[in-house]
Amino acid sequence: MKLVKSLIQTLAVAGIVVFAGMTGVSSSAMAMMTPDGETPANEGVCDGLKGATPGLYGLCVAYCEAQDLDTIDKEPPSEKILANYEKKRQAGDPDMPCIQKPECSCVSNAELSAMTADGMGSCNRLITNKLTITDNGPLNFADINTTPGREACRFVDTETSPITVRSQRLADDADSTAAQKAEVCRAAIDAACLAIGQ
Amino acid sequence: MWVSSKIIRTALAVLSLGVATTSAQAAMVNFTVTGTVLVGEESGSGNDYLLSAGDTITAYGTFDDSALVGGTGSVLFGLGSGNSLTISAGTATLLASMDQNYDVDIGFGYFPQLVFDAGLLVDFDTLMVYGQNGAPADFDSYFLGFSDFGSMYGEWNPNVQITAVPVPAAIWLLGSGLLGLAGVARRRK
Repeated sequence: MKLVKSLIQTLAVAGIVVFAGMTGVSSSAMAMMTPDGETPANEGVCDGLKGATPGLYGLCVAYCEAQDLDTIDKEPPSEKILANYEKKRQAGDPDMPCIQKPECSCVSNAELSAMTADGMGSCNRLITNKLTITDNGPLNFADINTTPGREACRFVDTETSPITVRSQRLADDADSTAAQKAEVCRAAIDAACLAIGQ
Repeated sequence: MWVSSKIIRTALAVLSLGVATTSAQAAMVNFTVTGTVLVGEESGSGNDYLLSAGDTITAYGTFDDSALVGGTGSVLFGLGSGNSLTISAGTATLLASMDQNYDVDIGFGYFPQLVFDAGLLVDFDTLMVYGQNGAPADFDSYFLGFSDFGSMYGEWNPNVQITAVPVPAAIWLLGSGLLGLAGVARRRK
């Protein structure tokens, strides 16, 4: 009886040791992976770049997936990788996929990308506090007026039926965030202009 | 003798004043800008101006063209500018004084303003908000696009018609009368 009891105790201790060991191994394996536990290249967030300019896919994997920026912003993003991506990026290539840029209330980032995709866009930066991007084939444009107190944005697309017109007065008296909203639009249009080298 | 000499001198002085006035007025020009509505009533909801695609709106007035050098520069229509601007849009008439910044300098001068580049209009900036400064409806314009922040949108024609302000006929009538008077005085002498 005593022998049986001792055997059970030994087995129990061995079981605990084995379980603890397995857990430890498992933890070590997890430590080798990204914070979300998924192998970087398998997450798919960069898949859209496989046919883009060579090099962008790898930079995307390094920037987004390895740091899991698509799920949890656990580590500070590597600005150097992002800078390399922007340097390598050509007209038609998308923004770094995992960066969720705030969108302009008049025009989405996807609409801006569509305007620059055909390579016929042009930008006008001549007027103080105003910026416009026009796509000449067919006529559609987005613009922003960041003049303090007169903030407004527009998007017109003559390709849709009926024609899409979004014209917003951002400088609403009851809203103190007009300048911020205008800046979001300016930054979005500015990025689209930079993407086509203007 | 003395009287006739005085008449001649007065006539010449008045004439030179008339010429000077004419020169000063030569800087004032009339202008007309037309705009075409691209999207209006047909889009579904009614707009403040009852305008439809294809309709025309007109902006006109006078400004001192000394603000332009080689056809390039900005013309302000705000308080104290001496310039005038009226926009005729459908059933509404909009005046420069209705602009939100007509009498408020926000660091870029008083609005409205027209910006020209080599003779072409590149920016027609005015912002009128319903109920403010007597504006009958919202009207926003910058670059060459105008809208009512709703269903109406249109574009200004960059080609602005500019003509010299005509010298009032009375100036020439007065001048010729004085010249005639001077001639009579000289003959009597």
